[in-house]
Amino acid sequence: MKCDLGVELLSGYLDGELDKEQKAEIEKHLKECEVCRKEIEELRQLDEYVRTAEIEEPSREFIFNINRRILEKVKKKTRFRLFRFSPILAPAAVALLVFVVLININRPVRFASLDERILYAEVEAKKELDIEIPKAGFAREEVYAKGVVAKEKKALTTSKVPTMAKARDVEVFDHAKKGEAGAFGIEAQDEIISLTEVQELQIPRDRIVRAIVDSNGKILKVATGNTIIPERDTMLENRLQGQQLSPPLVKGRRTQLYVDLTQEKVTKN
Amino acid sequence: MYNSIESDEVLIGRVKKGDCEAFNPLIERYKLPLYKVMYRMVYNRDDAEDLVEEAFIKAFRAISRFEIGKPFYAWICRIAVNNAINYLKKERRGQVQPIEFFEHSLAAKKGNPVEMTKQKVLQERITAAMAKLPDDYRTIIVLKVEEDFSYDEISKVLMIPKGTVMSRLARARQKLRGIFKEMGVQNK
Repeated sequence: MKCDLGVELLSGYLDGELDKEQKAEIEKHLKECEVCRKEIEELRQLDEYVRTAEIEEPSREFIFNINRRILEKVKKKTRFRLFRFSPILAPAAVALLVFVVLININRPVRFASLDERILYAEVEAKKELDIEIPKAGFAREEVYAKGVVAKEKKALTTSKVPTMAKARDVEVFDHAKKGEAGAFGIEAQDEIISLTEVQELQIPRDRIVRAIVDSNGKILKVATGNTIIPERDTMLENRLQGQQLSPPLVKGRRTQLYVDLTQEKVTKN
Repeated sequence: MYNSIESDEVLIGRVKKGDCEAFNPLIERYKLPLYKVMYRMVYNRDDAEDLVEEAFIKAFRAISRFEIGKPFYAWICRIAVNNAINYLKKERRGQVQPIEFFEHSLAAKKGNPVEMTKQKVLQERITAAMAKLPDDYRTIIVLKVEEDFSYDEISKVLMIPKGTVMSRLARARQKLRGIFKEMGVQNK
């Protein structure tokens, strides 16, 4: 015997999803129809079976480590999302970054480092600045300090490089190479480092020796080598560090300088 | 460390304020129930575990949209089920996957009644029958029968009208009954 009652209604009745009228109608029908009573019993049984279906146990990794794994991932993503979820903060941060880069792009570094000389020379060679080369005080023979990098927006000069300064690699020293001492308006004496002192400093003759001196003329760092950018020489630095040269002045102001201590014999005409 | 008796609401409130650690007790509380649902949907332990993990991560990312006061489990279950449905569509392309594990297991154990009790055999057959159901039927049965979601909730999770929930559920039950008969699962 077949019943016209739709299986949907029986299923809905079983789930308690019918409205009051439908529910009353079904209940009335079930009292009269054995087929539907059997049907609904089978559906209940089916649900029971579904609830008893086996489930494979989760792995130990899942049980013990999934919390940590999830937290690690969400923490990582949170860091990246800090900006992603902020339509205002992200562009503002980028704009700030660009602004900071732009205002610093042409700004000289505050302290000369051992490999900055060439960059400074190249950038600043065309500018004219007053500069005084550190002096050792009493010169006996002519050994010259040369090559300067100034801090605090001071830079190399093309006009007042010492007469005898070497100009191996920078345009700025070309004048000096040619011996145009008079044009620089600096007394030769001022530019000379005492040979005695330099010898006392034991500066190697066969290598470029560069030092950073502070605004009091004290040697801070030393680099040596045969290339344009010498490397820091800690052994020589240990010997020279703290040695006193004359205080370097740029436009009358004391400043930290980059000094080339390479010895060069004066060619006497 | 958070006290595990703290309510979902309290913990979620803290997560919303940026305290990731407050999410930990929620994971602990719901990972196994979610695993059960995911397992019933995909019938593969590794996949189910991955889907649970993904569900928690998605829930965390969407936590700002969770309305405090509503049941968290229903919410995350919805996320997990939707994720699993997408996974099934993508990985299985809507086809029913032969569940070799269970069929093999059944075949191996059929001839050895001593090894398993009748109850155990029955359970495995039921599981195999469930695995044979089309994905959409299985999903709706899991949500209704296992998780006891209302038709309204199922309608929201699956994004189908309530009437469709009712008809699909009825058809799914009919189909499962047919599979049970084929596999020799007898009514008590």
